Amino acid sequence: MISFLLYLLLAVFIGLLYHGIHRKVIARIQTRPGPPVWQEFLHTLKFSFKQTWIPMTASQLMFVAIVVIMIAIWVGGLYVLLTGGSLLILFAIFLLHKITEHGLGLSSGSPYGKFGAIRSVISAASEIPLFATVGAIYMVTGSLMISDITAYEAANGPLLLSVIALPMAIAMYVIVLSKVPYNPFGIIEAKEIVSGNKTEHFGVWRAGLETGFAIKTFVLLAAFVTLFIGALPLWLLLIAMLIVLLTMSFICALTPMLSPYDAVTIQALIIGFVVVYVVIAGVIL
Amino acid sequence: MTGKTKALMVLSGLICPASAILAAAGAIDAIVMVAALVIFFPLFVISTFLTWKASDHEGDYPFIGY
Repeated sequence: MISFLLYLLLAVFIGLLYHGIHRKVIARIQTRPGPPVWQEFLHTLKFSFKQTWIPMTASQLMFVAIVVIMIAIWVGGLYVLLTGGSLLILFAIFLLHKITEHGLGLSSGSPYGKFGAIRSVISAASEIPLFATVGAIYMVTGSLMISDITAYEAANGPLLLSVIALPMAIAMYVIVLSKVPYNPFGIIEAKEIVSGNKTEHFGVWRAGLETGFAIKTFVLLAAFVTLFIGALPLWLLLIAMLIVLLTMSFICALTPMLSPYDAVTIQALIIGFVVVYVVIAGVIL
Repeated sequence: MTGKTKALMVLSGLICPASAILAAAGAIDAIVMVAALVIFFPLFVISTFLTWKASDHEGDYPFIGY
């Protein structure tokens, strides 16, 4: 139980560090020096020290509560993952995250925030079905409990090496990719709408959001590794998560931000591909 | 505002480790500990940041961590 609290603190630390490494790798690929890897710590600290208030146009309660909720849902997500809980609950937490993203943009009253909020709904239309395809893991493992899935992998080898489960790994990979900073699907915080749904959350509120996003990155990367490679010792889990993140850094560095239409279309095509594959595999099995 | 924020920081900062210790000792269920952490950890983070942020009455001061 105390270990969960330590894991929570570790998740914040590792999440921020990995965000920094992600930025550094993107910069090096683009032949820029880039910020130091601890930049996201400085970033979060900087925001936390800033003067902070609530914009006049904002819904005061919503503006503050959404930051608290953003951290809270991923604390719950971390617990579900660490205790080998249901994949459906993790799916529900991801759903809540999309709703929170939407609320984040709407709470400020800023037009940029509202655009970000609307785009979060658009992206939800493709990201949530994408996550649902991971439910096809049930076909292979016979369970949606993370503990059962890791037990299956311990007996039969990683799902990543299974031809049947590979499309689900791709779907989950796209989900995680669409949640890391600077990703090609990140239409809700595209530069043409300033910082999208985060535009008006500055100072302490932004520092709180960065803390929540750090836990989110940790949970999603750890979930990907646990679901498709298996239960690993902590040090190996962190290395595996870093390798997965580095592959995403390459994609983020080499792929421009897609337009909202293209982002949804590509994600919808992946959903279509996975669904067809699952139906065919289901018939064959 | 600052007094209430500090009180919240101390309260939530005590509840988080206390719930983990009580759960480890078997005094409370794990689900109660998680509920406490889900509610109070975010409050601890935000109240801590609000406690040490720059004053609203004076000019902003630069972050010297760089």
